[in-house]
Amino acid sequence: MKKIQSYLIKVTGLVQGVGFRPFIYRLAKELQISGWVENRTDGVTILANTDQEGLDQFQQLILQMHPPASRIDQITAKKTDFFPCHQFIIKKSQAVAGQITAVSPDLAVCSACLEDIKKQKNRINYPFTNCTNCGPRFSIIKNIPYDRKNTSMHDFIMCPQCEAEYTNIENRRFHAQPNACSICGPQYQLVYQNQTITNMDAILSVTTTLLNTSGIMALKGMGGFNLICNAEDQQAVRKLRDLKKRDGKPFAVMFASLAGLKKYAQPADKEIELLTSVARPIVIIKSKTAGLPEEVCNGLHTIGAILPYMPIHYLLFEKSQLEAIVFTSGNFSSEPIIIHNHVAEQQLSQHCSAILEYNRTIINRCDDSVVQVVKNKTQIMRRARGYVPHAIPTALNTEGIFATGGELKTTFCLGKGQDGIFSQHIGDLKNADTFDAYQDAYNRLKMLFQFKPELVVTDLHQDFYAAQWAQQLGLPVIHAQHHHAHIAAAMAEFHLEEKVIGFAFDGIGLGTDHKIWGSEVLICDLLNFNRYSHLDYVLLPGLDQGAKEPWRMALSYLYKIFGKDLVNLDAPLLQQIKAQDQQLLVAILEQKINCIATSSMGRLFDAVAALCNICLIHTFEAEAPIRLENLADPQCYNEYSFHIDQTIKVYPMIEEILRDVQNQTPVAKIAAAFHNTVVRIMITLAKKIKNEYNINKVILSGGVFQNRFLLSRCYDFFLKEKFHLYVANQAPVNDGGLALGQLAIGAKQRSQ
Amino acid sequence: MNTILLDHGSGGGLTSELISNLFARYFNNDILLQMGDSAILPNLNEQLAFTTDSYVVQPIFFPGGNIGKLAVCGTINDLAVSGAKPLYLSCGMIIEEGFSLDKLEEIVSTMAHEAAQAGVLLVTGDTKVVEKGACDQIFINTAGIGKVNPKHIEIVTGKNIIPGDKILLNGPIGNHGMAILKERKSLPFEAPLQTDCQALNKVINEMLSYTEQIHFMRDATRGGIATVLTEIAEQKNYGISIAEQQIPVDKSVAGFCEFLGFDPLYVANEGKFIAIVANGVADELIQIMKKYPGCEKSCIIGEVTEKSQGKAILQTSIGGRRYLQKLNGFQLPRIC
Repeated sequence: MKKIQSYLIKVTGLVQGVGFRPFIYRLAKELQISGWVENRTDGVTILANTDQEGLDQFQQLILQMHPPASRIDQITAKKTDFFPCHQFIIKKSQAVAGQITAVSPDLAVCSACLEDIKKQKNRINYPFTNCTNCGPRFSIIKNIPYDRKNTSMHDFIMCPQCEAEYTNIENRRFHAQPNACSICGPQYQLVYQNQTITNMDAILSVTTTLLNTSGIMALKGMGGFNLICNAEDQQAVRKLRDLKKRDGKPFAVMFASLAGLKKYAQPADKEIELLTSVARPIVIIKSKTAGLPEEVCNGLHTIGAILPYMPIHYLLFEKSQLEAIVFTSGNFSSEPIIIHNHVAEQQLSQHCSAILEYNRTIINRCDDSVVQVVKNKTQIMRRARGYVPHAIPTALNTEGIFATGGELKTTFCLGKGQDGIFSQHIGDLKNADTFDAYQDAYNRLKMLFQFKPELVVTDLHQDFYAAQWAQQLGLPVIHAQHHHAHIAAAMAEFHLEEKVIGFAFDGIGLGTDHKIWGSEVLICDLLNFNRYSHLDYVLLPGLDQGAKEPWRMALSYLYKIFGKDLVNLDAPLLQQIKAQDQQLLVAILEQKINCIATSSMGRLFDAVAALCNICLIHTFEAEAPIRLENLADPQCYNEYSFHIDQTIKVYPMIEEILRDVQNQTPVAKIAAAFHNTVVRIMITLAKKIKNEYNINKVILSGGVFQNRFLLSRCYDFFLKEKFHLYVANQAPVNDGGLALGQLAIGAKQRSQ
Repeated sequence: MNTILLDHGSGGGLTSELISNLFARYFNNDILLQMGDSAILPNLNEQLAFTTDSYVVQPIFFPGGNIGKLAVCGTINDLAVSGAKPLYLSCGMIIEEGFSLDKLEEIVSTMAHEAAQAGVLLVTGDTKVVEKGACDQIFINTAGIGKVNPKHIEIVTGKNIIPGDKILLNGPIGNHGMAILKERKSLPFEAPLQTDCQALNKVINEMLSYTEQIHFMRDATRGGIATVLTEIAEQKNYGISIAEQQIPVDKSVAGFCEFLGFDPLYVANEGKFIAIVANGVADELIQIMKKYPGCEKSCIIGEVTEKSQGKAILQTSIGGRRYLQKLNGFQLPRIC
């Protein structure tokens, strides 16, 4: 005979705002289990009246069939006092102190909702249509638990029809917190030539005209404003370039459909999977040679592609019949993206033909995420919409640790339990508004995750804004070395605690010797690192000016080899630089005026790009290395000379490159041989360390490993040599991932 | 006799010769000529400001001035920005054996000229000569006394600063620091650069006579205007907002700074000061300032705000905002 008992089942993970409770309800009904389900701040709790067999089946099916946007970290069941129920119900949310449950990232609109905006009377062309499987989440949440009253949907009272959906458990919109229709929900309005157009048909028709006549529009999206224009219209793209000021960074492009995208780019299967995922990030993919105007990608052979993720995107494409629109963030030079209507009107109206905004507040600013695929592995380069605030499980006790991140591409990380919770990409903290946004984001996430800070981990660099700010929190502070943190980020993600070989290659990070590091070959665990090798120090002339102008690094390398006679070299680069500037730079190097010694790998890429005459002054960050990578011939396996003693000496390579340039060797060959040489240096050192220390696990981290050519060569060579290679998938390898490494270092140190 | 000998500082015959032939001749005034162990000053009957500074600049001669000019103007300016009327200076010199007497005379004559121009008397002094290598050519210390009108007594503390106050600057920044650097390192930079070293007491005096509503002044020497503004924002716990576009920087200085990777906001000046004044008198004060040579480009560069407490914010010319930081010694690169 069946023995019916009451069981309390606790489910933790990403189980709120993703249709989890209705799913449990329907499943319980199907299995004829009575009881209740309830959202608590620490997860979902279920009371199930069933027998042991029924319980097993219930748990099994929960694990197998949970909604696509949900994630289960843990499911536990225990017997409890018998609590008779007649049926299964969904109880109202309850706040429980202590542990908290995950907040869902924003989700791309689902196909069922896209159907609804064609068919449902009250949702025809209604751009805020959503259901439990899709729509805004993180961007609208103010507090937990995730209930309508704690979101910016609180301002909108549901009409009877929406209310009926919301309360009908059989409905796809049952407890869909942002549920809305054209009668009761938020509305778009178009601010155009001092008028405000509110009728959706009129909005779409004016928008269509504008986009088809080289207009630039500001569009309020999920986590902020975007600037858009017809990507096939050179004039419009140029206008947008001017509007974005000095920035020469390639624009992302939103394509009407995957089929449309394939006309301009060649996505691999894994890339298609990402392009169409619920996170719907910008994916960097190989572009086709013929296609969009030069200004879009600024001469690069890759394109940042994205597919529509909000109903408004689909509507704009459908009405305008465009195939591709430039889709760039609504901000200027390192300011945070604009989220408020009044700010958009104030800052953008003089530059844009029209502003398409809506009357729901964006609570949490969130940029579009950027990812790429190298050797079939995903790399998140900008972690924001669709990914944040997903937790990254580590194997360490991270509770109460606040890791501040760095300064550029900043994210921070909060420790909860064993998780690292990344903030959304925040950006360059030198900008005051961005720094304010950083503090806002910290306060928000602190509340959403009921985070109680006990320990701060920050960079060694005392001038970093976040480092200075962290000092004022009145908490113990640990300083983690930049490159150690880069390696630790991957260690945390892959749950590695043993000694590893870490290659941390990037632009700059302050070293323990107060010099500027950036090509660090470390033997490390989470506690300590041994700086096994690095590029020989050269001077970085003019500090940050040296990072903006690659020609300076080229001269710095030439100076190291040829001294002040470098000005007499027969180098095409020198013909581009005024004699006075050459003399002045040499004088600066000779007397070390505002120069600092650096082992930066990023600056070596700069130097080589400038030597090849590809890029003398950056118009966007890392332009020189990106152009060098873009030109490198994948069929070329040539290498240059180097030698390694205490440090890595690439001077023979620089001389060979100079000769190749003089001999007019194609840049594609030089660029490839340079990349190959860097990989050869890495392999040489890794093998040496393996022999000496018997370590076989290799971690690659730091912004340099966003270089697709370099990274895929690394995969080839390291795997051939039977190393275990780790490159973070969840944490960005650039400084956006630093915070997770800081978190892990802090957690490990604290546990000692 | 055309170089300084150790005996010039021994207190003997050569010393008195140096004093009478050089210092007394150039600095010539009744108080100095008492030649006592102390200068006896008239009864000033007012509150006094008293300051001192030492000058060790290299090179000692540079475009637009020399170490003597700095020593006089620097101390005068410290008094003037404190709301005081500078009256008397002392002058202590430490000279390296073998230093050229001609050069010394040029320095002393410059000092005398600057003091006379500023209406200040050099009333007491001391000279020491040290062995070769014990100092680098010449070091000068000056101390100064000025009197302060009780109405201006809080300028030095900035106690009366309130949100809405305007921030005034008396001209282009960065000239001194960059001119000295170029000269010291003999850098091959074509455009001419010259120190802005000048005494500010006359312009400040007229400003003080015009209004009691000058709430704070400071000369922007080492650390530049950024350091002055971040310090005052922090001390007063108000926000300070300045606009990059309003801040005058000579083209040559801007170009040189950019090439070397320096931010002119942080570069030293020797004739520039920041005044924080009541909104109502700002425009009039600018008109007064503009009349004085070297202050023609005086302008309002920003204001004190209630927001952003304790921080100085730069509205950049490309449209962003940046919190200015106090420099912790050497500037480190930060672009990753």
